[in-house]
This record gives sequence, C-alpha cells and structure tokens, in this order.
Amino acid sequence: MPFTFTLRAFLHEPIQGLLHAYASILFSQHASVGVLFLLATFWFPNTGAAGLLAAVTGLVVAKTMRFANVGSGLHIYNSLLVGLSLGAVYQLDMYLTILIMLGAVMAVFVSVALADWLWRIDRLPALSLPFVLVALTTAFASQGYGTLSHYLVPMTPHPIYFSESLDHFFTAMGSSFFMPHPMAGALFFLGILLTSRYLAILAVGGFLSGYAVFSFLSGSQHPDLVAWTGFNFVLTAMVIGGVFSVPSWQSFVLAMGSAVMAALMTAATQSFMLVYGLPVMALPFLLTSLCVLMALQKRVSLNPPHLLMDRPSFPEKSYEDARLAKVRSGDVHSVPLHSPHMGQWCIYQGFHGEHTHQPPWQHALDFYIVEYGKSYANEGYQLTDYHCFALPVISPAYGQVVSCMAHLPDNRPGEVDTQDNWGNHVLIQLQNGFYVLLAHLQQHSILVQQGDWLTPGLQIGRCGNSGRSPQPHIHLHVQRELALGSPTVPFHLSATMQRTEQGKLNFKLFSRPKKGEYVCAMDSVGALARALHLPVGRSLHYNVQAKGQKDMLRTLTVKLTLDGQFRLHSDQGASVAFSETSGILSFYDREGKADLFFDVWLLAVGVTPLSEGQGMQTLCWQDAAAINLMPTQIWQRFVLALRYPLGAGLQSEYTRKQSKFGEWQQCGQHHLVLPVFQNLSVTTHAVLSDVYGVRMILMSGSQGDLHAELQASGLIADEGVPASYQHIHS
Amino acid sequence: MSNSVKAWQKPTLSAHKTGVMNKVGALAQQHFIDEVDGHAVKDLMKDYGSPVFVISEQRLRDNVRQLRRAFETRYPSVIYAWSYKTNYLNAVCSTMHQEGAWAEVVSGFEYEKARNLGVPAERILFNGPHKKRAILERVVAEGGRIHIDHLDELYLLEDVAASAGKKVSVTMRLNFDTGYTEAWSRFGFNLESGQAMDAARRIGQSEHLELRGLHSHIGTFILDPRAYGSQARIMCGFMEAIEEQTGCQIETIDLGGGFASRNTLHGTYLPPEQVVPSIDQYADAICDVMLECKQNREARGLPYPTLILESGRAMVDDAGTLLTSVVGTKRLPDGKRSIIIDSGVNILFTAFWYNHPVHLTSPVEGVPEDTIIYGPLCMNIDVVRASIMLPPMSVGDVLHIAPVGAYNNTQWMQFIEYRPAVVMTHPDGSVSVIREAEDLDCVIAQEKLPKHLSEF
Repeated sequence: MPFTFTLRAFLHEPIQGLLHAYASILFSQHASVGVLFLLATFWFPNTGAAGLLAAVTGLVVAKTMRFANVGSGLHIYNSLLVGLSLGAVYQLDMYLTILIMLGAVMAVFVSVALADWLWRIDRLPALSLPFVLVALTTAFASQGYGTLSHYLVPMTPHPIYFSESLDHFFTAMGSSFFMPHPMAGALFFLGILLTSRYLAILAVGGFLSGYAVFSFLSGSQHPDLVAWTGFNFVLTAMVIGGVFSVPSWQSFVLAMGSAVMAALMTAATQSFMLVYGLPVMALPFLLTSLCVLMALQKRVSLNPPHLLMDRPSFPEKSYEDARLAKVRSGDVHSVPLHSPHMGQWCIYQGFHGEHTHQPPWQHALDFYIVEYGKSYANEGYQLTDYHCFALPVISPAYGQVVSCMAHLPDNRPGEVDTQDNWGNHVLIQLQNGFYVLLAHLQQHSILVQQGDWLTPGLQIGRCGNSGRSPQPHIHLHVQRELALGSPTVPFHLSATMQRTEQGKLNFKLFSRPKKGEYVCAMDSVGALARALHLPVGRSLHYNVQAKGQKDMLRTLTVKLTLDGQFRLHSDQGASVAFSETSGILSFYDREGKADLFFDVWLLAVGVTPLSEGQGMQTLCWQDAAAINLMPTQIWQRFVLALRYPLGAGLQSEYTRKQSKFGEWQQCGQHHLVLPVFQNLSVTTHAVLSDVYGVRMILMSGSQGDLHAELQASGLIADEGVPASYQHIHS
Repeated sequence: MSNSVKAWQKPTLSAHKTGVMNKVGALAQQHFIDEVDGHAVKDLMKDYGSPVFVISEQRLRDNVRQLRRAFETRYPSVIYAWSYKTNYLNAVCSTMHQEGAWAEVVSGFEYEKARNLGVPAERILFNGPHKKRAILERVVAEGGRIHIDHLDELYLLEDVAASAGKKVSVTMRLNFDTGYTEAWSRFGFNLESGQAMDAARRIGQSEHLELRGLHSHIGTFILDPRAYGSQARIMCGFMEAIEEQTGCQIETIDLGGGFASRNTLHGTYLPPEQVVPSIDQYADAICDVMLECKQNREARGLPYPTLILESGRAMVDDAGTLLTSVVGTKRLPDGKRSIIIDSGVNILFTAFWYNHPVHLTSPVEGVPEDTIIYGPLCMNIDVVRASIMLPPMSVGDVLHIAPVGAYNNTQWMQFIEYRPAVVMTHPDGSVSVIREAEDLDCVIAQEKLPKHLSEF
C-alpha cells in the first residue's frame, strides 16, 4: 500500500503535465480536455504514438533536469508537437524513435531557454516557437537520413463527414495536431468548445477570415491548400483575440485582421519554404502573433484592446476580471487617489471646469467647503472667515515628494497671483511613475520636504490661498511629467462617501465628483475591520439550512497562494480571491463549480466597506458581482449563457445599519433582468458582528431560501502552532 | 396719531455724576431685540405666557454641524456625544441625535432617558461618579459604554460583569494637570500620582474588564485652547504607556467638554466676543496633537484612536432664550433703581455664575440707569443681574435674556413658583411646546398625604 501510494504521488505531477501539454496546444488547461486530445491524436495511430513518445521523453527530461513547473506542461508540449510532426511524415520505427527522442530532448531545452529569453526581450510568450525551430532542424536533418521510411497520412480521398465546408474547417483544426482529418479536428474543436465558447467563436471566425482571403487571392477554392496550414488562422485569432487580450469588439476585429495577416504570411512562407522542401507548420501563426503582440505593447492608449501579457487567461475569465475591475475600481487607466482632505468638502471646480481646468489641465479637482451656499462666515473679507482656510491637507497616495514650495503669501480674498500660478505646492511622485500636485497651500504650512516618502492620510500642509486662487481651496491633479503644470491625466477618488438627503451615507468605491458635489473622506476603520479580517488559516464553520436540503455543516477556509493572493475556499471545492485594502473587503475571481451556500455568502458580503459609519446613519453602496453568483436553475443558466456569453454583472444595492451593540445588518438586493423570461432577484442579509465577523447569512427571493449561522471559527494548525477551534454562543 | 405727539416718558430722578461715561457708553442697553428666531416676542408672549424659554432648533443644528465640521476636517475619526446634563429635554436631545450625536449621561436617570428616546446602548457614554449596581447591571446587559470613575466602581463593575458572564469594555476617567487650568482632581484616577496606571494594570489583570478607552474632562468654560492641546498630548502619552505596560488597545480618547459659550462669567471684564475662542481654535489645538499622535502610531503600524467630544454648553447655550416680564419697579433706599421680573434663579439657575446679557424687546424712552434685576422669589439671593444699565422699565415690559440654553432647563428648580413652558422654534417657521408649563397637579403628583392628615 505505501508503495502504490508513493507511486501515485510520484506520477501525479508528470501525468498532470502530460495532459496539460496536450490541452495547452489549443490553450486549454483542463486535464479532461487533455485526455480528449490525447485520444484524438490516435486517429492516426502512427502520429499519435510518435507524439506520445515525444511527450513522455520530454517529460522525463524536464523532470530529470528538474526544470520548474513540470506539472504545467509548458516545456513538454513543444516536444509533443515535434513528435507529432515527425510521426505525420515518417513511419514509426526504431530509427524514427531515436530521432523523435532526440528532437523531444532538444525541444525541452529550447523551450526553457526561449521562454525566459523572449519574456525578457519584450514580454513575449514562446508559444510553439521552440517546436518550429526544432522541427525545422529535424526536417533538415532527416533529409540526410536515409534510414527513415515515409508515411503519409491518408488525407485524400475520404468521404464527407459533416459537410464540405465543415470538413475543411475541422481538417484545418486537426492539422494543428498534424491530424488533418475532419473527425480528429471535430474532437479538437469540441475540446475548445468545452474550454471556452468565446475561443470557439474566435476559432471559427479566424478560419473564415483567413480562408476567405487566402482562397480569394490564390484564385482557387481547393481545400487542400489550407488543410495543412489553415490552423494558423485559427490559432492567430485565438491568441490575439482571446488569450492575450481582454475580449472587446476592438480585440475581435484585431483578431480577425491578424488571421488575415496570418493567411498572407502562410502564402509567403509556403513559397519560401517549399524551395527547401520544408513544411510551414506553425510558422505563419508564430510570426504574425508575436509581431502583433509586440507591436501592441508599444501602444499608449486608454482604449481597448487591453493586453494581458503577464496573465494570459480564458477570455471569459479575463472579461469578467476586467468587468469587475471597472465596476469596482473605475477606468483601467485612471489613477486612483484618496481624497486629500478629512471630513466633508465640496467640489469648487471639476474636470473640464469652466475657470482654469482647461486642456492640458482638464483633469483636476478643486476642493473647498460650503455651507448653506457660502464658503465663508461673517463678511468673507478675511481669509480666516473661509471655512476651509488652514484646514489640514493630507497625502492622497503612496509616493515620494519630488518638489515643494512654501514661501508664497496667501492672497487676500478675491486677489490672485498669476506669477506663481500654483502657489505653495507639493509634487508627489507615485509608484506608477505619475506625479500628483497639491496646490494653493497656506504660506509656511508645508510639513514635508523633498525626498520624503508619504503614505495616504499623512498631513502635508494646510489649505491656503496662494497662487492663482481667489479664495482658499485645494487643487489636485495628476500629471505625466516632473515639470510643474505639465499635461494632466485622468484620476479618480477611491473610497469616498456622500451624505444623502435622507441622512444616509452613500459609499462610493470610486468617484470623479462634479462641481457642487460633496465628497466625504472615509473615516477610519475599527472593530468591524478587525472582526471581518480573514487571516491565512482562518476557518469558519457554518450550520446551513436551505429549503429542500438537509441541514449541514459547511466550512470556509482562508488560504494563501504562492504568488501572495488570499483565497477563501469552500469545502466543496470552489474558491474566491479577496483583498482588504483601502478600508474595503472585496471578493473577486470566483472559481470552481456552483455552490449555493458559498455563492450566497459571497453575494451577501461581496464588497463590504470596513468603515463603521458615524452616528446612526445608514451606509449604502452598489456593486455588480458576477451573474454566476446568483443561484439559478439549469435552464436559467442556459439562458444566461446564451444572453451573456462572456458573463455580466448583477445590479446589487447594499445598505448597512447598526442593529444593536457591535452588530450590523447588511442587506443586499440583487437583480438581474433576463430577456423574455423573468427578472431574477434575491435579497441577502448578513449579520456582521464586531467579535465574530460574518455571523449569519440569510437569503430570500425568487431563487430560494437559505439560512446559515456561524457555529465556530478556528485556525488551521501550522508548524509549531496548534490548531484552534472556538464555538460561538449566540 | 400725529408725529408731533411725544411718547410718554416715565419720570426719573438721576443724580448728576461726572466721569462715569466709558468707552462702552451708557446707551448700551438702548438696543432692543423684538424677535426670536423670526418670531415676534409679542406673539410668543401672547401664545405661551410669561416667562417662556425659547429654543431654536436651527441654531442647535448649526452649532453641532459647525463643531463636527471643525473636528472632522482636522481628524479622520471623530465622535460627538451630547452631554445630557446640559439640557436633556427630549426635543433637544433628539435634535442632537438626528445630527449624529451619541449620548453622554452621568446617572441612571439620564441613561434611562437616553434609552427611552431610542438611543442604542452602545452609543451611550455612561459617565459620572455614582452608578448603582442595578443600573450597571442594565448597562452591562445592554452593552453601554461605561467610564470608570474610581476603584470602588471598578470592583463593583467587575463583579457585575462576572455575574453576567461577560467581558466588558470600559473607559477609564483620568485627571491631571494640563498646566493651563486648575486640575479637577475629584473625578477619575489621578495620573501624576500613579493611581491611573495602577488602575489600568488592575483592569489589565481582570478577566471581566477590558480597557478600551481613556476619558478626561479638564474643567468647564475653558477659555484657553492650549489647555486642550496639552490635555490631548498627556492622554496620548498615557495611552502609549498603558498599551505598552498592560497590553490593552485603546480605541477612543475622550476629551470631555468644557468649551466656553458666548456668555460672561461673574468677574469677567471683557465681553465674550473677545475672550471666547471659536470652535475652530479649539479644534486646531486638539487636532494638531491628535494628528501627530495618529501619524506617529501609523508609522509604527498601530491603529489610531477615535476622538470623542462631549461639548454641551457651546452647542446649546446660544440656542436658548428666556423671555420674561417686568412685574414691578422699585427705587431702593440708596437711590438705586431695581426691577422685579417673573423669572428668578429658580428657573435661571445660571444667573448664579453668569452676567447674562439682558435686552429690551421694545424701545423704552428714558435715561438708562444702573439697575438691579430681582427675581420673583421671596428670597434675598434671587438676583438675576446685580448691576445693569437700563432705562426706566414699566410693568409688562418684556426682557430678552440670552444665551440661556445650557444648564437652565436641567438645573432649574420647582421652588416657590411653577416652572414655565419651553418652546422650540423650527426651521420651517413653526413653534411647538416641548415642555408644558407646570401646574398644581403635576407639582403635587408625586405627593402622598397620609389619611390622618387629610382633614383639619
């Protein structure tokens, strides 16, 4: 028993790596898709066996050499392709076996070397470039080896399997694995479909675009022209439009354009390579994709397509990540800042303001204080009459002071100094390279000096009336360069509150307030933040009652990933990432299968400001969590998948009020408008306690009822740290 | 009526004096105020009788907003608690709570009053040197915030918490010398003698108490904001010391109240406009120190404390006005003029320590003369103003006395006279009675007459 157990453990990683290698040829990561692809390659047993031999060889080499991430299959799939490419041309015998093994070994080394090198050069992925290099080498070499016996995959003639045009497409799909056969190709396409519907659309679209142009220009409809090369269009479209960019209509158009370019490249390389009797293989795809990706990285623009060079992902996931990031953090390219003040201020002039916020300084906010329509008390003849004069100004971000000025006098009300427009100021360099300017500060009030490192909330000076400022106010903008008053870039304020007429506090994850609007900096966080804190190893045990289900005890556990992401795991396999920054607890990146209790828990807690809110005010805010958190029936999920193939957000409105000592009631109303059928809505309640955290979760609405109560919380043992488990008496 | 007809002027006799004119001038009291918050004095007297207290809701709100703005724009975590004893009329308290104020109470009665108004227990600060076991049991059960005043209370509270099987979060009241004001050493634990540290250690060792806050109240009517700066610095320093020595974590620093209002204490020469600091000046002095403490702690990765303020007088004093009528005039044997009005120290208790500004409510002809204003009580001490320049008054003339919003509606006594009505003027222009005038029934409601005494 111990032996088999060890063997299984020993084999687990290599087998995972092998399956990943098969799956990742078409950008999938599912082991099941890997199994499907592995079986499909045996449509032509000679080719399939050659591929498997190469893959196993590559695996053994990678494992023996102890290259990192064997389980990911990254180094092996190039070996696999080398094997497939040889197996498609030569008969598998002793001689070919040796050649394949040599090629596979080489492919591993080339992969490891190239992957790192390309990333360092220009953040480019290696893709199947190592394979092409090694395959070309073996192809050249094999021309001199008389021992190899040719094997031709039986391409033509064959009956029509699906329809003529579908057969063309599937054949082209199949040739990405050197399996130019409609049935094999159909299995590969099925694998893509299982992985990502959007990738499947890109595959079809890419093929159609590339094939149309290819056959139009060549003046021939002959399918064999693309049977061996058509997969180049498909892969190019998938890489450009789905794997390395966030889906958008711009990225889709670009993907199609790239597929067309790949068609041109295919024709060109064919003409060139045929001279040497070499197959083009994936070369057109690689040249086109790498070139487009390299070019896109040189681009500076706020508009899509947005690249994902460092974290390629399924389009559905990257779309969801980008959508959630936008609803929670604002525009991707807008710089997030905190308010530069404490308490409630008002916007004197917003972006594109009529007075001075004109290009290139259109991205700027001026803050002052008004009460009953007046910014001053008494007559307003003296600076001290102005409500905001001499109030503290605080740093809106992490950064380093790069310049400041403090000696200019404060103007009398109504006067301006046009010599030194910005007056007394502090210029802060942010960690992202931009600069934040805070201007018109009070004379001699500046508390920081050049070189100081600032944290948000640190006082830097006081509000004044120096420079071009007719009445005391704070000017805030973000600029691109060091020179004072260089062109500004968009920014937004994160975590602010607005008092509403009803005495509620409207909490905004991000905002760009307009003239006349009030901005209240978020107050500090205290007991609630400490109670909701989820340290690594924390386990929460809930007693869950749902209609039509047995009561059960469910456990949520906090784990920390190697790259530093905190994730909350459900005991049924699903998990979600979370962050606790800037006084907000937020959950994102939900992974794993549907899990009613876990999803309701996430809906109820979703985005939770940790500020307790003052007085007896109600705090309210909005969110747009992923629709797949909404508990749904199977047919509803089907309708949703059709309507929102890339996913979408719910309309979630939250309110929170303190209900009794140390307890807050957080109510969430979640809506989803479904076309034709019905509107889905659920109401969630979370009881947050300043001792136990999320003490109770309730859900009601059209989608069922659920009641979960915290039974115990514990801490998972660590080396030298015993586990703890504490029952909760409510 | 023809313009040529002269108004009748009450005849006066005044001795010739030279050199009495000063820079304030003898005509100071010729100004008159004929309305309160937009309501004619005449109408108020007609509708509610004399005397009557008038409280302006708008002024209350403005004052709290100004205070909150002054502190919240200078420190990121501020809580304002309404000091009940200053004026615990329900309408006043509710206005404060609508503005987000917590409640600061100093007795079981005040605690019950705040709870009765609907203030959640955790937003009530329970202060004061006298807390009975029964009320402590209730506060512990409900989760109110208890400020411990002395060791015996500490032991009692520990016992109550132990019986309830709870660990109670407490605040410790401190007293110390700020260097600016006379130390109020009768409340709380003394810092300089080490008593406070001993108490903190004692709480640190307790299984049922947990020290979460520090409180001190340096005094009342403090005219020098630097005293608060000094107080904040001493308390922040003590917080660091006890956190280090007892391992507790302080969440709140409560600086009490004591901000001055626009009133004049007996013996003060300058007018309040010149000696009373603005709320912004107090806020500057306090928040400069608190912000420094915050940044110092953040640099060490420590949370910073929430600032609690309990200012009462400065919030409500100038929202209250007393309208009162002259019921008699008298020339004293020494030649000094005196008048008798229908409200005395029974309802204007603060006359014991303030020279309240007194204004006419209609123009009165005649030469102003040094006048004594007596109350209606048959008691020698009933003097509202010992000396004020007034023209010759007549019976029925109405006087406007303000600010009187602080302490009068709580410290007044039902003594000799009934207590009058209190009305509130609202921002929408309406007026409501927030406390009816007393009558015989309500005064004798609590009395029991033994049967054998019922006939004579």
